[in-house]
Amino acid sequence: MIEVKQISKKFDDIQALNQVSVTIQEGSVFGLVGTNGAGKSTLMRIISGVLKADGGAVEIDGNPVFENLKAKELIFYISDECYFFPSATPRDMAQYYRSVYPQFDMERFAKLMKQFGLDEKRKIKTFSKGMKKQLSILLGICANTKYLFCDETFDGLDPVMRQAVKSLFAQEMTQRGMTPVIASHNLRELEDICEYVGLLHRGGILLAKDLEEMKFHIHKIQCVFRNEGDEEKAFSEMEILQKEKRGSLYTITARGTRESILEQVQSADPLFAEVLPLSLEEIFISETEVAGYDVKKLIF
Amino acid sequence: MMSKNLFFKLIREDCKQRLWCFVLAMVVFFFTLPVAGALIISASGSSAEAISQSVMSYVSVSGGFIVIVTITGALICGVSGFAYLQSRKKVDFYHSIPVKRETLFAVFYLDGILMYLVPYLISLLLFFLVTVGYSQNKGLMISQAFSYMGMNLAYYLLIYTVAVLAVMLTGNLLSSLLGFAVLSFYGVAVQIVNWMYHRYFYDTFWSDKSVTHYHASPIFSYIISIGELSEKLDTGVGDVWMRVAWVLLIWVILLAATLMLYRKRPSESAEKAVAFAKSKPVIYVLISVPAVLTGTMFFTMLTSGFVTVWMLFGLICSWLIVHGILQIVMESEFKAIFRGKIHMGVTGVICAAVLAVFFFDLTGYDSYRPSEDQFYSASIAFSSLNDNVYEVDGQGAYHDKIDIAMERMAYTDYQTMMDMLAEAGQTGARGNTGETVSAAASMYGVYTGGAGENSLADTMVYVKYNLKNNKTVYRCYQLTEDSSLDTINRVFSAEEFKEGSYPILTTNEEEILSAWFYNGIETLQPQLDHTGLLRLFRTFQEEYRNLTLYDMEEIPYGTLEFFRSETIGEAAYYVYPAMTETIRLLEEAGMQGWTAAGMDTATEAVVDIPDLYYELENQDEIELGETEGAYPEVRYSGEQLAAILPYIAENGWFWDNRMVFSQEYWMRVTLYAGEDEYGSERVLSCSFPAGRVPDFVREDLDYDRYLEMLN
Repeated sequence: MIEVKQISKKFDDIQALNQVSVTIQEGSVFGLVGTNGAGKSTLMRIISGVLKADGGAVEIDGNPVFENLKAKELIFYISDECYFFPSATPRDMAQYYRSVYPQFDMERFAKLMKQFGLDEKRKIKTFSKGMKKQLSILLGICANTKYLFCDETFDGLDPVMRQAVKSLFAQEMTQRGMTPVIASHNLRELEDICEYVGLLHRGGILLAKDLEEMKFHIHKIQCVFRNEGDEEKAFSEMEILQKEKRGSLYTITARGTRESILEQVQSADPLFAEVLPLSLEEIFISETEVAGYDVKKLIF
Repeated sequence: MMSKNLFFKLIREDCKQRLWCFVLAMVVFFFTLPVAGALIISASGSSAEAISQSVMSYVSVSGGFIVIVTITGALICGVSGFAYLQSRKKVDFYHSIPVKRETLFAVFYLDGILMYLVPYLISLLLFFLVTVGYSQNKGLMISQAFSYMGMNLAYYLLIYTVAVLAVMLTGNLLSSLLGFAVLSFYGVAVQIVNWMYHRYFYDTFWSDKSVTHYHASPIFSYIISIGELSEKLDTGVGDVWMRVAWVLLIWVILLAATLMLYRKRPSESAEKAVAFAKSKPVIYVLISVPAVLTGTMFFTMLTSGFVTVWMLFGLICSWLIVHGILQIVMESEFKAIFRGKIHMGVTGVICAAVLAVFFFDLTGYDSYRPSEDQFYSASIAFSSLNDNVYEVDGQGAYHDKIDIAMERMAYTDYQTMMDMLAEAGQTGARGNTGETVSAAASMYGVYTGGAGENSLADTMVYVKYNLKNNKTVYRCYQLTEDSSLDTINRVFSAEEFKEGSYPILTTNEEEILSAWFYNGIETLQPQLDHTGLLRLFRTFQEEYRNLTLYDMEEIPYGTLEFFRSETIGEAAYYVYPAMTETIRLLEEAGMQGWTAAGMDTATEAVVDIPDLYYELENQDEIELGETEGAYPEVRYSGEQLAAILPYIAENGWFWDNRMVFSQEYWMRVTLYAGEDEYGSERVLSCSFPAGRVPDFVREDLDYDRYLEMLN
């Protein structure tokens, strides 16, 4: 488990992080979302032990992370701008990582490189941006660390590669309990992989929740009522987060379980009522509008 | 506990990444040592001795080449090894892996040393392989080469650590290089600025020869130490290894400081000009104050008029320009010149205060005189007296008259000294008006010329006060027209002054091996056995102790040089007409003085006044064609020549004691004194002592009329 407690970080006059607290459970995929300049990379660099926080604490499995080998051996950090030795090949990088991560699996690395169609003897400086991203992910996976931190890693990948990587993550999580922590500004990208999501804005955590839990307690429903005034009966007991009317079609997003919301709508004997799937984007918009933020400006 | 295996793996990986450093070092050392050694052997001819000597001397010369390689290599290795701290990508990489930062520091630091040491050692061994067969003293050659290597390595460690420290304090390459330059030369630069201000504003400023301590710069210290090592290896004397020990001590301290800064250095400092934000104002003020003061002095020295105005202009201009440059470098942004007003203000206040201290002499520097209670003794030397006195000691070091006086003299007559200094002025370079004269004059002294007077007013008095609290204070004063030769003579005549000024007076007679006498025309050895030599020496010492400044106003009889066993060279001392016993002994030994020698050998003397004539022409007082030929001249021979010979002296004799014996400036005498041992005609440049031109010569040249026109 990674515990981030009241982390603050300032760069000159800019407060990059302000009293941020979040807990990342092992065995689940944690997505860290936020706009550019929200503090995602800063937070990632702090929990990776690269930066030292001005205040607060970060512990990885109970060990403080900064300059602590016991904690750092558990993590592999893939930066948003990956560094490779000049004129190095993937094999060279793998050998270097093997010297610092004793559990690095060279065989698996060679195998994965083949699977992903990357030549391990070719100079990395000739790789495209996407290929470099793939390489950094493969190096991270083959390091066999408990936690894998990915900062904007999926950005340079094509949809096929993205799926392949997601499968790889799932496989690692299942086989050895790897815990990926993925920072991104793209909610859609994280949607089908993250189980737990934190939204960072202007150096603070707006919310950090289990995605299923969020989805369990927020639903979107479309309905058409027979009579004017029936909607009042249906919606009166509901905690409505968003309501939209087009003609006689109501689209509402409300907090509550699927059953309870449907029951309330059905009590008004509607002509039509259907529960629609909510995207992560829509969930966030709903949640954060309640908090007074126009999330469209924050994220999209 | 760091795994040894991991440590060596990391070293190997870093060496792979910086292979270019190693290869570059290997190539440079290879050509500097074994290849150059082979070339030397090929070019030295076929004589085994010549080849051996060439090889031996190359060991010393290569030390000079390797100085350049060492300094450059230290900078390159230092900056390249820790350049990762200046890139965000690299910092993320290195600081996220499970390796302690101290381990990373140790790996990169050690690699930087290996990249110098290994190529050096390999090339040196190859050099031995190539040259050892040709060396006639193999052991000496090898030991000298390793001596140089030891010195080079010590300074490499120091300069390399300075480079690493510069990288720790900064966040990009340009700042690192500038930081290295600052760390390498700041100490010396500040001393030079201090010296400049003392020299310009304080009339009585004078310090010992080494006005700046060059060892405050690791690079200057290195260059000086290699030179001293070279001397030591040639002469077998001198102790430079204490210096190496100090260098290593400073290196250890610097290394500890660098490591401490490394640990505290925030990773987010990458790509910023200054790594530690809190250090910015400190760095700013430390650099800007000497820079502004230098700029102020630059404008002040440019002119001799409206000096105060230009000084203030220089202060303000420098303050603004230095602020702008520093802000741009430290903030990496042009608009930053409009920020930083607080530390700009602090710099301005400090510089204005420093300038005020010097300009108004707020510390009372020029008026300083120790009280009798504070005074223990003094060393005194005069600028235009005893210029012939020098000594080369047993270690081959040259000491001039000031060195000798400052080191050996302990003059204790406080009151007489103060009487003399009371007559000296504090005008110095400033003149009577309080305005400074031209930059050159203020720096190098004022020439007042002289058409017929001894240069008492030109004379500077250098004083080192030795105080009872073990402090020493240096001052210099300029004698004025009011200065009394009588008072100065009281100082001069004191035994303490004489023994402190003339090494010959404290020389043990048992050291004397031989004597040589120069009569102005030729150098001869007195015909004396050892007993006679010692008698001459003792008599000379005794009469020299009794000599007065008035005696030194006479044309010398000649010069006498006593050679000792330990020294390489010894001064030639004047023999004056007042030294009657010495002269008698010399004549008994077959010597002739200047006048007698001249009488025997001189055939003609040509007296002319070219400088006076051209000066008058420049002043449009005369035209070139006024007399036949370019300028007037008179030729003397026979009886007339005999008449002027007692009134002239060889020109070289007028330079050493100008205070009491200077030449008649405008008049030139060319003496034709027979043939030397090679059959060449002797032509001597001579002059009349100031104010002692015989009347008939003055009439023959119409000299007084021309002098009147000049004045």
